[in-house]
Amino acid sequence: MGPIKIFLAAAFSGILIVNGGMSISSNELIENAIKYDKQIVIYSGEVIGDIMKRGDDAWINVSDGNNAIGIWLPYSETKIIKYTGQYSYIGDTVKIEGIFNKACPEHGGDLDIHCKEIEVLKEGYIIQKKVNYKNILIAGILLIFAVSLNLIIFRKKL
Amino acid sequence: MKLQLWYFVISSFNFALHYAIWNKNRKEIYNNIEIQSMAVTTFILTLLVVTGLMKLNVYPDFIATFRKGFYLLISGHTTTGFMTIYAKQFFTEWGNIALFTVIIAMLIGGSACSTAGGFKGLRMGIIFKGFIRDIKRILLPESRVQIDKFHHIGDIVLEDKHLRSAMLIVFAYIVTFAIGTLAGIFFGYPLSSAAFEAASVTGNVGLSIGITQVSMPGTLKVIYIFIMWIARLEFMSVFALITFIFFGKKRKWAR
Repeated sequence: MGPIKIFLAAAFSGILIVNGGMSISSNELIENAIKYDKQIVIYSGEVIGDIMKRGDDAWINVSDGNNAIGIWLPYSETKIIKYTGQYSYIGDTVKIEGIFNKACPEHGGDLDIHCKEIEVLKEGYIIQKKVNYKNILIAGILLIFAVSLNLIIFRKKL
Repeated sequence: MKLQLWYFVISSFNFALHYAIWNKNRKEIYNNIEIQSMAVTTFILTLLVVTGLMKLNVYPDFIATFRKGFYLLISGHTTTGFMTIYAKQFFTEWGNIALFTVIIAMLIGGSACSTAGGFKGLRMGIIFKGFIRDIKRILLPESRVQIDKFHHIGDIVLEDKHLRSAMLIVFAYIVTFAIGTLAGIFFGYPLSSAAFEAASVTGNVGLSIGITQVSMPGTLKVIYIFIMWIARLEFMSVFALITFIFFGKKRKWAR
């Protein structure tokens, strides 16, 4: 089916979702980018990094564990995202429905998804990390050992 | 992105060149054989990458094609390894012309005595000058004494020892690259993917076509690690170490 036919079908049916409305993995999208190009896809994953505001719109990165895909959406729709995956944080898991672009003409040929609908499937949370004092002690001992060795080497001109 | 590209290129320059420019010897940047070599290879390879990508209509317009192609080419040429596409896209979308051009860029690499890997622009320049010298020798009368020079911080007379040394390292690089490619093919990857990953590994670049990942075969991991190590040390020091370990010990025992 050519791009014009896809467009007409989408226009008449109102919506066209490939893969029977099931979420598609990033590997599947990247490896079969030509097949999914300009089609409406559903993609799910964890929001990672920052929400990057660009005028009235924004970029978010959604990772399904294998790759992170850039999602372009109105900034107002990012308000539903509470946590983004960072050090000490697990980001919200979201479901994105939008148009997949193999090489987006609007964004310098990048592979992206222009979001039509976003839904939070699971809220993220803060990871409680405990400091491992044993590791700090070992690192300290090794540091002293390394500095001492260097001093010996320089003083004795080895 | 523009700032990143400048940083890639400046970091791939020889530290001696940085020092010369720091001391206001600005002419060095135009005269240095490494810069000349890199300018020529970048120009030719950019043309090839853009042609390869445009032939397949990978990107929607020329600007996007140039932007992606040039960025990834410079990333490979300076052995930075930053990517603006997914690893698999090299294989599924870029096509053979663009792919093999990036492979050549990765193998050449940056400048000697810099942060870059590859067999370096200095050696490319010396080998090219050597070819020109030999062609001149054929064409000119035998009685004529031809002295060729190259400029690297100072003027240096091109001698056979320079050529031999450059050719030896380049030859060792090509052999190592071939071994890495064969290893990739042996483990079931297509030739272009295996060659791309082997070039990246040999030049310590970091660009990937998707072979290098957690689930890759363990033996291939070991081969790649060894190639990265031996190529980064530019072979000779490793050969000297091996010689010392085996022949040095033999001498000890003989005593």
